[in-house]
Amino acid sequence: MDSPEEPPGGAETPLLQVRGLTKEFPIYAPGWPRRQVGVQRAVDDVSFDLSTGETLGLVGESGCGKSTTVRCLLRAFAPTAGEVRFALPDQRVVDLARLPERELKPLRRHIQMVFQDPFSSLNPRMTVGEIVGEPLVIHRLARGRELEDRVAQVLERVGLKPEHRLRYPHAFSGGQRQRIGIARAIILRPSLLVCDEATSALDVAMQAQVLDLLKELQRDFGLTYLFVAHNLDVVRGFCDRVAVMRRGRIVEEAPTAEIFAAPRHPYTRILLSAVPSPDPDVPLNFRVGEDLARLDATGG
Amino acid sequence: MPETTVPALPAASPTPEPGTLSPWALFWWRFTRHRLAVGSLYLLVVLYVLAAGAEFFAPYSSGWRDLSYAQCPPQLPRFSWREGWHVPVMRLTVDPLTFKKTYYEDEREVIRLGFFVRGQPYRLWGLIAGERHFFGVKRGADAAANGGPPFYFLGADKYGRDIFSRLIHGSRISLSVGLVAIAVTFVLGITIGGVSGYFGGPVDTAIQRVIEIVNAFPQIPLWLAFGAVLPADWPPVSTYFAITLVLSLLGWTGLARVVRGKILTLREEDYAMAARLLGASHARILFRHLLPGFTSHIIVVLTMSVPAMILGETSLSFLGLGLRPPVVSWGVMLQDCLSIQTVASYPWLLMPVVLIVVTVLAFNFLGDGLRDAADPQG
Amino acid sequence: MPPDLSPAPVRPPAALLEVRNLRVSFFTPEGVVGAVQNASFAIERGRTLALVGESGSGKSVTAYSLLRLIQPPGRILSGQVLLRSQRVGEVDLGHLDERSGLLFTVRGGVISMIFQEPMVALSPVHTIGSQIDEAILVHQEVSRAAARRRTLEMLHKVGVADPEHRYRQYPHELSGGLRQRVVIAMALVCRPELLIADEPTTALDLTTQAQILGLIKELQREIGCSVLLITHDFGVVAQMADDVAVMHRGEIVERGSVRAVLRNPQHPCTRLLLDALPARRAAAAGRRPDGRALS
Repeated sequence: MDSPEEPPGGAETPLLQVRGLTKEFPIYAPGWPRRQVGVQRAVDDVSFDLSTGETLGLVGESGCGKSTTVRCLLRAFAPTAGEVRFALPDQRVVDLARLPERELKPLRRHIQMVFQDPFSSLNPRMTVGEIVGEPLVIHRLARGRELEDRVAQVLERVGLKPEHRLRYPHAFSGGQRQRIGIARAIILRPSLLVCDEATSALDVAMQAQVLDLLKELQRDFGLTYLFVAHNLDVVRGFCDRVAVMRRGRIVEEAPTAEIFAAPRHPYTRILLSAVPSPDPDVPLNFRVGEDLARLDATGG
Repeated sequence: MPETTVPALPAASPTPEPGTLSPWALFWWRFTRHRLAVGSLYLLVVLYVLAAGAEFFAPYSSGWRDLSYAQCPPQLPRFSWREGWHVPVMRLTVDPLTFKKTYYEDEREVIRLGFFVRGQPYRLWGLIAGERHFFGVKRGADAAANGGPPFYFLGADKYGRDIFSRLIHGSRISLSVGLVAIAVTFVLGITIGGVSGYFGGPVDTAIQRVIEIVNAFPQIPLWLAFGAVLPADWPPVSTYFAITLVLSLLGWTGLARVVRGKILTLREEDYAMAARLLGASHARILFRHLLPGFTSHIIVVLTMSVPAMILGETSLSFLGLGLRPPVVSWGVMLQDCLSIQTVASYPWLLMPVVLIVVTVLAFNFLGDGLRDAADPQG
Repeated sequence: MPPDLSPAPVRPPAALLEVRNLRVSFFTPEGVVGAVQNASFAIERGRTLALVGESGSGKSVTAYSLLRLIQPPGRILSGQVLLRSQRVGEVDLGHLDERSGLLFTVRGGVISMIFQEPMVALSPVHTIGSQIDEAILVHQEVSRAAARRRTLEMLHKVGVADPEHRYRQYPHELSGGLRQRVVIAMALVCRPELLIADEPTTALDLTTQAQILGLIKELQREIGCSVLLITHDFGVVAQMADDVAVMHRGEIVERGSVRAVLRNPQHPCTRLLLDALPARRAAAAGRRPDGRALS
């Protein structure tokens, strides 16, 4: 799946190689004692590559398994099957899917995440300084004055003021909170940043600002992004490549421009037709429901 | 326009430096808006201070008696410039036909009262010796402690003991029983609820079933059983601790449920997940991220369950299953009120009820205020 | 589609709802926050007005104050909300007594509202059917059986499959999109003259959003009501609205027909909202402007 426009990383090993990732959840019958009656396959044989400095959009509607996929990558829970090969800064390649939690912990600093909900992702009982500095404390990388300085630096880097570190999250707007979340994620200088619907809870104007900030940070720190979104429109102009997920599978993966210009999979076409265009003469497809039903009928 | 100062709808902090108030400061600030709760807090502080310094604040010791003044009615202090604070002496008359005893006030002779008067010697907490009492009968320098007619602020019981003094002495046990039982409840509730919520799975299921069984037990029969098991010849201190243990063994379930529920919800919060993905240890997640999120709730639950403990002690002692004389507690005092005739003729024997109601209400108002402060959204 | 055909012949000269100099403030412990400042706009009969703005710009507060739903510490300071209803005549909602029966007739009967989070409008302890029944019975004198028939008909109309079955279900048993359909059914079952939709699709997936927007449009045509649509997304505005009013920090900074505003935005704030749209950003970033292809 090499994009002809942007081949970042080139021939060297990709930063992240996901192969055959599968996650099944047990289904229990109602009642007690509980009895397992089957499995729900939330992620079904997902594979993709991500090169250093690249941005991959993972797009799909709620319940399509995109959040489960990234949570498997980050080992919020263990995948049922598959490999997650991750290249460490020292060129070592580890399989995150199989690593025991104890060995995983020191590696967590290389992969960070920005959450969707700017309200629940920041501990309301901690000051902004404590929240942003916590990664350094956990990994024992800085303390005292140095900690303070690095927190102040990173706050400025994401467009906040150093004196904001004494405040509590409740004093900030949604967009500012998302910046705090980004500051916490980048303070460890990770190589991979997973943005799980990082802009979905924001209004259009703030969305644009946060995306601009992420672009800047990518340029300055050479970050690699895995950008999860339910809105296909958001990834336009931000991602290099897009993978469209439906029912646990990736149905189409292509460079962003290609996806928007010539979508191959009918589901991608339906998603695109549901994006409301700011041009009143390009009518929105209000009949998506029927299109989706037809897609199901043909077994797409 | 960039998002500089978006006017957030619910204003967060009342200080000139917005946003720097800690959640605890905000909690306290919201609490102080709740007048009734603040008033209750003051009242409770007064009650506990009285209980702590019972020997000093009570005019008489708990065992002091003057049988010639049995069932003496309350004497309200009066003030005059000549006598200062005083009450008339009570005289007893016996109706020659019905043998009914009645007291009348003999205005010719007064008992002079005063603050910080010399009275019966005591040892505060068994350590500090003293003989000054906060309030009591003013006597000549040479008068013996038991000389002269006594002063019954809230009346006397059938042995001529001062109810006011006994109330203060009794509050030491009745009020502290709640706190000690709460301490045990706290330890049990936090540990069991925490284990249940944090580990989940079969452990959680098992603990929840145990809680349901404990809750399903009818309380009074259980108390009766415990009371019967307690040996009558145990020293008062052992009985006291046995009772608090009984109360808290039944009372921890509520707290355990709250702790478990809160941990279950907070564990799902993104910030707990964020800490995990940063590589934080279990201890750090639990103590830095989860526990601070509901300490205020724990305080509320504990405050709200103190009244149940106080009422529990009172009921046990009233039923004769808990503390027994000569120990004084509000429940023990109420044992005198077992017949309706007594209550009808000597209503001041019911004074402990008034105090119990006031204390329980104060704790409930305090809990309400704390809850509103902890959960502004309700 | 020609939606302008039906309302044209009966359109009376005056607008259905006219808001003049509305001012709403919140009296918080740290000071007075002017949430709406001198907002004036009009909603024409049968047309859709979109109220657009960033979060915190006061657009939701404006909508809430039309129905007098502002809770303390918020207060309407001044302003008129003139409703020219065919059912209750001309009323100034801004100065109506809080407890007057007329206000309750207007709420839900003449003006209905749907919210971003459908659970706001749904009671978790009653079945869907009984809640819609109740909405009918409050405003119209019909028998329970008749109300039930209307409810089932309405559920069918909003595209709920197997209405008989859904009628007996509780809100938590439904998906987000289905809940929003139920809320729409509840809001429109009394054929209101104005529907206020407060970010009705923000919490939904794109495909669900398209269906819900389509549903609102379709039912609006059928009932002939006006719609006040609150959103921050100019994409939704372009697809749904006839007129647009842009709010910024409690003030209406730009008003006009959708086409005029989109073609030639005047206020910097309007331009900012427009430029923030991914499609425009992508175009600005020098990528080739993509044709939207649904073959």
